Amino acid sequence: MTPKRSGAPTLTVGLAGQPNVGKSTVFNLLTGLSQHVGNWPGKTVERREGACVHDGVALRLVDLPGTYSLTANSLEEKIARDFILQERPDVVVMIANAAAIERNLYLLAELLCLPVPIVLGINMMDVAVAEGIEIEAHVLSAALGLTAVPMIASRAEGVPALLSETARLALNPEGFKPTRPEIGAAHRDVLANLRALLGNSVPPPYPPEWVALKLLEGDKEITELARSWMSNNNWQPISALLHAHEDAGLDIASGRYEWIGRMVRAAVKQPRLGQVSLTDRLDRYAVHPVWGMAILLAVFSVIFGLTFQLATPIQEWLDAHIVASVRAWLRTGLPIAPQWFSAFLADGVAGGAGTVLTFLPVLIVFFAVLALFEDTGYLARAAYVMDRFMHFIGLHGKSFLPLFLGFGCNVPAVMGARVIEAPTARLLTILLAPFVPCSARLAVLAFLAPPFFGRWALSVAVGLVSLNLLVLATVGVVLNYTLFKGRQMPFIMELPLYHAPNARSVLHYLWHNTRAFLAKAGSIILLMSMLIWALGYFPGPNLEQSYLGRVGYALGPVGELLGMDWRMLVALLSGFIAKENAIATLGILYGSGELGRGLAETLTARVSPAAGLAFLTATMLFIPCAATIAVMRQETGQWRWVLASVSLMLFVALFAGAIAYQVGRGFGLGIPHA
Amino acid sequence: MLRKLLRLARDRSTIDMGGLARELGVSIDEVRQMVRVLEQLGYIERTVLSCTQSCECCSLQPTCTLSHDPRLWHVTSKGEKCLSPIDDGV
Repeated sequence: MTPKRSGAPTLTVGLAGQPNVGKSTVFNLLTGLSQHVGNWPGKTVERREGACVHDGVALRLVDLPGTYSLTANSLEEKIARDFILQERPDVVVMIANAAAIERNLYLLAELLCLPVPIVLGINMMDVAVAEGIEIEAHVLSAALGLTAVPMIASRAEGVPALLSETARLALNPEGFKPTRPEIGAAHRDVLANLRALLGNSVPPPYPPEWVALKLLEGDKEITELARSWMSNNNWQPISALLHAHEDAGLDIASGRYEWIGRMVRAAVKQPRLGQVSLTDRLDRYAVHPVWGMAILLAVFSVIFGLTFQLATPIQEWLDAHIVASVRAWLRTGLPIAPQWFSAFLADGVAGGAGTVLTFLPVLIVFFAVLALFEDTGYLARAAYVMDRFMHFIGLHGKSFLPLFLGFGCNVPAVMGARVIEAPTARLLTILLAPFVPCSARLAVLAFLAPPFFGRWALSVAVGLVSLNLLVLATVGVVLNYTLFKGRQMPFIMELPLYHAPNARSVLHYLWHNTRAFLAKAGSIILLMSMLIWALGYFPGPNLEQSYLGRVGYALGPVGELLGMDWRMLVALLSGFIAKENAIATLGILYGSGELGRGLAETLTARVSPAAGLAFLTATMLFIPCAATIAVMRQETGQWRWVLASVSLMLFVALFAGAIAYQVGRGFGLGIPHA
Repeated sequence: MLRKLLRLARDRSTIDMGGLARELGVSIDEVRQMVRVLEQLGYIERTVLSCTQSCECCSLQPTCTLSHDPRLWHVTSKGEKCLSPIDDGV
């Protein structure tokens, strides 16, 4: 650095650029310790200023906030734009990332519309070279009509040249004649008309040509300002012109991209085909219309497979040894307690809620595997694949988001339908949401599939999840093309990069879900277990003649269609309060533990696989739980749609259950294993 | 390029940025920039999925995946108006 020439003015330089392009590094290199930090007037955004002297020329450098463009949509963009317009720096130095030069040139295209000379610093040249991108800076300079300086700011390379060119341009701005982007031909005359209509109404420091361009782009701030500068009579034709040319913004932005394309073609060589990231490679299959669906089913297979392999043996051991022993001890180990009380503790509490607690290993593995998939970024792909599926069946695009939530719980799925503006499409989504297999139903499936189907449990579980999606699609198609004609809405979706799962977030997810399940087991499931036990115990003398038995026998004809005895039918109905209750009820009504057997073993011995298939099919499609029904009522505002949904699901569940039973029998599965 | 992107966003079923990049022959980074520009110009709009209560007091928070939703945009009526009728080949 040299001392400042006496009498020479201090020149102002604005340092602009997109975020993360190394702008701050350049600023620190140029100003060293000679900088101070404050806030932009009236804003909470940091303003950094510094000074340096080059060849006797004093420069005041102002570090502008990092912005992707200058549309004043954010505070940072407004600050950068206002600084250039109102403080009129002698030069703006724009720092660009060489490795993402096309994206960075968009900001340059906008800067060039402002009345200020510009020097371009192409930073991170080393990163670009490492990625196989070659930028010929002198060719880019010639194409842009301005000085482009290649740099590696992290090694201070190119910074002196940047400073030298900045000082030179600041002292001789007359020679600055860049190649500016042009607006598409279709709107050139419109822009000229607009400029003419503005006349002399535009006050300084706003350049009239730039104001006309911004009006045509639909810039809200400039539109409001222009409106305040003009009388109603003068504004009317401008307003009419803008209204008639709402697509002009597209032409202006397209003009900038064409300009960028020309510059890049002239000066940049990049190995496009070679740059395929791991995420890209994986997504070619993960979001493919056919492979994507197959992978989604494979993911479900892995989730169930790992659950069955790791958790089911532990669950069976807990069921057969802990719960069965506790129940046996409670029956005989409390001699002074009345018999009904011993039975209550043994069957109502340990047999119901206790059996459900053996569920815990199943849930832990289930949620852990699910959390792993979520944390890698796969579940966003699953949402994408599901969306394609929704479009395929003709549903409103926005339906998929709430429906996807249904895999966790149907309640937020119903509530999530609020995102859909169209009332009919929203209603359709609410009606379909309970068909999505929620985690509680998936957990019941994970618990009961192994005792009924042994080594075929995985195939049956994946098949039943697929059946749910198929029924959802069929009901969706029928309703969509009859009662609710929805309008499809496609999306642009930004999928996250794949990454290694984080142990902390996986454990957090697992802890939340496990805690929620334990809270449920200790409250609603326990209460329901006690109620079911009481209804099955009184008035005696045996289960068949209890209140529950009488209701169950009354439902006998329905049970016969599905191959289920009245106990299974009652278990199915008890899932109305919470889906896990089905297991608690089976635990109570099948009296497991009497022979030192757990529920799983008892079911294997007493229920045929065909009846088990019917039970699981009906459970997966059965009416939603009470909480979901309450939310459906709240969201639809009337009972008739809730009743329609419940009736529809009841019919579908019983019909599908009956078919499943008949198919099972056809395959010779109508007899219990032992 | 922008018109093509807008047309793809309107006419296809949902498309991810990787798919758009492949269709347009540009990088995902550039697609992201174009999406930002189209959003700023009001031709597309961010779709936000939210419910009315805050997550902290929601009992469904453990099972809710709202916070992990992918980012989505849809074409606005202004965007659709710009694409017709010339872009539809009429």
